[in-house]
Amino acid sequence: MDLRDTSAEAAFRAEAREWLAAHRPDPPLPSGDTAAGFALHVQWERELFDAGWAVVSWPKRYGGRDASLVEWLIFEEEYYRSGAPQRVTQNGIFLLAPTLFAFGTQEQQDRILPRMAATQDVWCQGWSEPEAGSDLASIRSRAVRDEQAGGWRLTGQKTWTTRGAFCTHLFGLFRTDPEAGRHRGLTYFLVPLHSEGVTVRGFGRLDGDDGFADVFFDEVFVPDDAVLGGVNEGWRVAMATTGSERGLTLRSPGRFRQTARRLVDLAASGGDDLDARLADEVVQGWMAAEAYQLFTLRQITGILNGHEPGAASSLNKLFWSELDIRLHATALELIGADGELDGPWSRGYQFALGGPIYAGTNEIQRTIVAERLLGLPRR
Amino acid sequence: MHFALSAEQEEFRSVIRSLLERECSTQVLRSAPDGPLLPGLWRRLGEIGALGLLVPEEHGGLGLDEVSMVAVLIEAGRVALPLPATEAIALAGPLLAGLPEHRTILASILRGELTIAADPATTGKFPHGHTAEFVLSGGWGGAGSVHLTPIDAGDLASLASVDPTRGLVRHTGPVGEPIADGPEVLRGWRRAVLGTAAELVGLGRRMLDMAVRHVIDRRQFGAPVGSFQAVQHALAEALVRIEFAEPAVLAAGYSMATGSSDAGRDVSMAKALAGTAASAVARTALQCHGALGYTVEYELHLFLKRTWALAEAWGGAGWHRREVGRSLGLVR
Repeated sequence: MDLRDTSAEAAFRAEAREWLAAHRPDPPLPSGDTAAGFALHVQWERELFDAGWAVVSWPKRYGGRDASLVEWLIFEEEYYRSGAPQRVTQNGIFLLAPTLFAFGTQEQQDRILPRMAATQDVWCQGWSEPEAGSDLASIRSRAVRDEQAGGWRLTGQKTWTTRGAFCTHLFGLFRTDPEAGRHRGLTYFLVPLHSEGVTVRGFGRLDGDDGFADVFFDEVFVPDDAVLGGVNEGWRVAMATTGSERGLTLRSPGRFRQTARRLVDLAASGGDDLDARLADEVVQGWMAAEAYQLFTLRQITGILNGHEPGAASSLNKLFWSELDIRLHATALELIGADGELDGPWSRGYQFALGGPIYAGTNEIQRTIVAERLLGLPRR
Repeated sequence: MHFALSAEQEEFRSVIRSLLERECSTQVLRSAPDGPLLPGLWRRLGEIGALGLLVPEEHGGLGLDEVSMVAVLIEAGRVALPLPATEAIALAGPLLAGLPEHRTILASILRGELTIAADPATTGKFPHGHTAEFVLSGGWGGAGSVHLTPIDAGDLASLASVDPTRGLVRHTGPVGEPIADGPEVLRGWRRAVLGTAAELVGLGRRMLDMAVRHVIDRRQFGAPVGSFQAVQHALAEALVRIEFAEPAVLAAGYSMATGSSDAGRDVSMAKALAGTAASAVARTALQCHGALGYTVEYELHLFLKRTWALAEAWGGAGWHRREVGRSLGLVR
């Protein structure tokens, strides 16, 4: 057992820390989930890319550094420690990209990944529909073969699409074989949102930002090379992405540890008046963030030894989503009546409340844990 | 970065595990504190070196570190071993090693011929008192001195405990000679806290395993109760508790083994997380067993009661969270 950085890892950490300290946006950027804020975030993402920090774990030829999983974790930790903002590119670089590396053709990887890395294209996820939330396999949006044009015609509606109003591309599931069973007959498509027949309507999330969108498809044509991983193979391909979304790639421990440090600072700034019960809450939140870090280190060691986390990513999701709420709720209690003012803690709390809902509700995750990790029988 | 037991540590752990599974059945556990097979089990633990795993090789031990200790004591917790393993491994071995005048006592402990109890708060109330020949008293919180007291130099009375398998006693009489103070006492305290945390992780795993097995076998309304979502979700939460406590316990072992300046904080965090996790799993496991678990005929209660006892031993979760709070500058 060795929890220290190797000398190469320490050098990588020092380089990242130094660059981030010199370049992180100060004052912090506004929310990236409004049109104006999004534009500022795109500038920041391009600055990251120009310095080689946008996609550290990717191959160099796509704009990355070939960083190891451990180095990626170190970068994440340093990134959030520096106070740099949440990534508006995350759904592309952390959710779609792993799927492209696993299932994409060489041509697709070469075409899509460099533009994603450079934030020339920004991707959103098109899974949920008005009648298909947790029950993803019940989606109705369909893709119909257009032999003459050599591609597919997409029709239907996606919703709760994060930053859909600002992104340039969407990856999503469409039903290609209506006769097949629920999980069969789905295909994973890569769709430019400027295509003819696409209509996007942004709408307010709980925090008021236009962070959500409805995306309507009306006979939208996409060519055959917009299919990722084979026709009617969409469920299998999509499940590879859910592992990323629930697990550590989307929500690395660095961000929660930084929130925990801010919480400790907030509690300490009150001086001697700190209520004993609240002090205990702060300690519990801080310990939980450390526990998530340690769980992740162990998981990464497992991955490096060839054990894919699989359903265990549901454990991550259950833990980080509850942790994020706990940290913010404790901060708001410390702040008291001023907590209702718009600010990082009240915003963060509202954002955190989405955690147990998106990426498969925590109820779905508990069922996955029960059936697939504990081996309990299905109903 | 490599956060896993080494091949040697895994091997040692599995040796201990199969020994305990074979020789510490629930029948043996029920026979504690003075069951006829327990002295033999203690000797077996001595023979394979477990009791002296932290003792340097030149003093007859294995010279292993706190990570190995955690691995072994998780296994002790899994069977609710009714013997003072944490006291021997974490406390007595390292404290007695290097004291020439106590070479014989140490050798007897390492061979599994003698047990030793611990009373860190010096209240005179401690477990394993009927079978132990000595008690190590003092050192609460890592402060003061630890004294070596022969138990037969005082009076002993049994105390009715919720966990009868630990043989709780009240001991009155003169306190023996001091054998350690300063940093050795602090290290001993931390090791014992950590060892108890490891036992709690093992207990939590065991209770969860029992509950899972039960809800798969038990049928109501024509279906296994484990197919009902309310039961599934409760057990999923229980797994989350244990899965996120265990790495903290292992990492605290690593902090101690590497002499980290954060070792005290890490050990307190480990104990707080392991204690609350095991206590939560205990509740869930009992609930999932229904009335069957609410009997002394079934085995679950043995593990519940050990959990209650150990969650508060060597400082409860609240005590240790205050220690963590102190290290963060939040508690004076």
